[in-house]
Amino acid sequence: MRKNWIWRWAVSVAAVATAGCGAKAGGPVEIVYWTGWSSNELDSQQSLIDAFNKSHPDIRVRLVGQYGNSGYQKVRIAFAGNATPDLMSTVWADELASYAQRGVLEPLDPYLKQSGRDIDKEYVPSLRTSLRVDGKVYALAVTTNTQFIVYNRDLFAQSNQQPPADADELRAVSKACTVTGPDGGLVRYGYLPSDLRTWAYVFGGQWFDAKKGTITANNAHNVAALRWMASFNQFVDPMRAQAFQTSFGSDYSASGPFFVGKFAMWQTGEWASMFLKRYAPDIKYGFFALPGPPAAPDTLGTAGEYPSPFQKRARGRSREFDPAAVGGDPGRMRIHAADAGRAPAPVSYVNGSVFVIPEACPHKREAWVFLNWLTQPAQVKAFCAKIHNMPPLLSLDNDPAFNEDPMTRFAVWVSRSPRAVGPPGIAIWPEYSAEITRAEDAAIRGGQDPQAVLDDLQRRMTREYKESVEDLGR
Amino acid sequence: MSTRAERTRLRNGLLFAAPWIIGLTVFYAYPILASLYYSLCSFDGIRTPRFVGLQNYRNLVTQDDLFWKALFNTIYMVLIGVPLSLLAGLGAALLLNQKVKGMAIYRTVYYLPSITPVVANSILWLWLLNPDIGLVNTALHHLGVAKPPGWLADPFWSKPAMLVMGLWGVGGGMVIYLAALQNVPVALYEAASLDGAGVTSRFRHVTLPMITPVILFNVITGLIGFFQYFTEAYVMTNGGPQDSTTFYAFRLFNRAFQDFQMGSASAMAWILFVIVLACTLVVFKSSMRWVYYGGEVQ
Repeated sequence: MRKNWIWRWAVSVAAVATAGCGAKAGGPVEIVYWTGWSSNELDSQQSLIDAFNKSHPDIRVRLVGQYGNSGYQKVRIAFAGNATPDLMSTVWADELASYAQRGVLEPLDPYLKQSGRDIDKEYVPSLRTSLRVDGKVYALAVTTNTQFIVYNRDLFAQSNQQPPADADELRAVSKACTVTGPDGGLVRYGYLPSDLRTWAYVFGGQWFDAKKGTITANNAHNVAALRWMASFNQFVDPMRAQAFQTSFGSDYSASGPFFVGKFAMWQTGEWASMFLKRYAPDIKYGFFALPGPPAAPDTLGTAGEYPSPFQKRARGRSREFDPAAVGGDPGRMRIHAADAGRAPAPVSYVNGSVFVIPEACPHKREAWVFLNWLTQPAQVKAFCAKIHNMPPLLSLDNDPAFNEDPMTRFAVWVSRSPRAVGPPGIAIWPEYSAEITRAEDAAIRGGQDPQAVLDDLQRRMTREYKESVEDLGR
Repeated sequence: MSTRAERTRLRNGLLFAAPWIIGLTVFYAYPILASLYYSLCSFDGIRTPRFVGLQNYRNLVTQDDLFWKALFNTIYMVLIGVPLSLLAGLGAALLLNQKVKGMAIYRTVYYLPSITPVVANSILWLWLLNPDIGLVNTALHHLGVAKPPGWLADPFWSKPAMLVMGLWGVGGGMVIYLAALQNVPVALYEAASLDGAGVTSRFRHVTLPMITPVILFNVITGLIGFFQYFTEAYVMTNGGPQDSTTFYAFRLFNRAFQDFQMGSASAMAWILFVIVLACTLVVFKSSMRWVYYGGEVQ
């Protein structure tokens, strides 16, 4: 790649100043590893690195923390100046295709083969696709994530509600749990729908058709999902609901709206159990997977192969599945016709930090030795158990470390679902994703017609996608 | 023909100035020129830029609805924010120019908010402007306003909310006005009083003309500041609700660092540069009619 030399020089100077340089004469080869993890996650990474450095005298890993959003933006500048470290986990799965298709990442297939590894046998289904771009593996992961809804059992009992079996019931339960004061102001709220990106998948939709290579923003199921989200406006003004939510602290602080009993439901993930223990140990809670539409969309017919150890217990329970079988208290989940007799497959959207080796880095072999070591079950287990994340490796399915806490056990089950999906693997996804959030805002708070909003998104993203394909093909 | 001594002085002078000459060339001149070139390229910030002529500019103007929204939002802030901060700053300075006991304390108190970091300020105002539990709406409730605004949650009120918040930081402009007010010669006021001028006349015909150079300075820096309005939107609203706080600089940042469109972002930067330059020139040109520099005969 030809680059302007001054640009390259300026970035190199900056990178060397912050990251230091590689090998020292005679001693072990030093590799620089950038991570976006902080506090206890960073400590946990450091203790793993200490163990690696001890057991590998020829390689020395140096960890550099890159905090917050700017850390992830720095990655871009580093690529631009060919001044990358040897390994980084400062890349979101969402951005992987944006980098891989620009040719700045090292494909990992030859290394995996050499080390006798096969990600299809090791990783959960969602990661098998999201670690690949155009058929090649460009990243490995040590965590995965899930989404589900946690509910306050006492508030449900007060309103005489039980966990919803489908999305329409979720809206009804939300309405029943919502309390307004004499002046019309909100005193308590049920569930504030957000994250169209994920809900579209729950409704059987998709954002990109990989087979045809087309944008599918206005897919009928996506529109149905957005309509459903906007339908919550019927009983509470969305602006009021939003304002009410912001009257409390962040979701993960002591004054978070769920922790202080002001929201009956909370869309979150497995890490919630740690915060619930810390900030609201007295709340009695349960959890359920994101419930799908009442009528099963035709796209939801592929759950048969879901390797659920609980399949047997679910069989024969009419049309209802009791996720108590997976150890938690997730209420009920309706089994769609296509799944009759099988465990239902919950939907969640996976986007975590992934590990990549930059194409231009000086010590690829050493970086792989470390990455290969770090993604082995023992290390993955140590890291995930410490930071309450889901391990992405199937071999840890029945590990006691992820079986004691009911919510973690439930999350492991959700993360193994064949309907847990990752990013669609197109370079414009970061922009597309932000535009989906705008579309959600326009329909829910702006009162615009969901079909019109998504038609407009379809038009714009199709243009952007075509331009990007042309541009990347040159 | 220069003498040897002159050449030595020139060399020494250049050597002393070298850090700045090099710094300005490498960190200012080069990036500025590079961004002009990138604005004419398809450039994702990673791979080699490819020259595409004026395509980025054309796409912005003809295809990007958010470009126009961002421009509208920014011009809204400039048109209301500049006069508003001028009036508030000058008003505060006039009040703080009185001879009252404990004036130093008042001046400090009014100046303090302007040195609070913008991020801290923004987070504080998020709470003050909360529609349900914020102090602002609680006060409005007590004053009998039945339905106070939704502020940052309402696309109609989000920009006014940020303008109100900005008034909290008028202290910076205020101290400059205050210094100018104190530089107005007392003799002029005495002469005006002898001629029978009242408070209003003295302000209109003595104070105002004497501080016009400072007003010009504050108008221009305010103009540039509002055109670059960014941090508050980044911290408080992320451009929402419904794009109502997607300001020009915020959109530019997202084009560069979210959408991998460094070429388009560079084009936006140059369009902004031309707009700001044009506005500044217009203000300068008009200043010949209304700015009075001491000693001129009008």
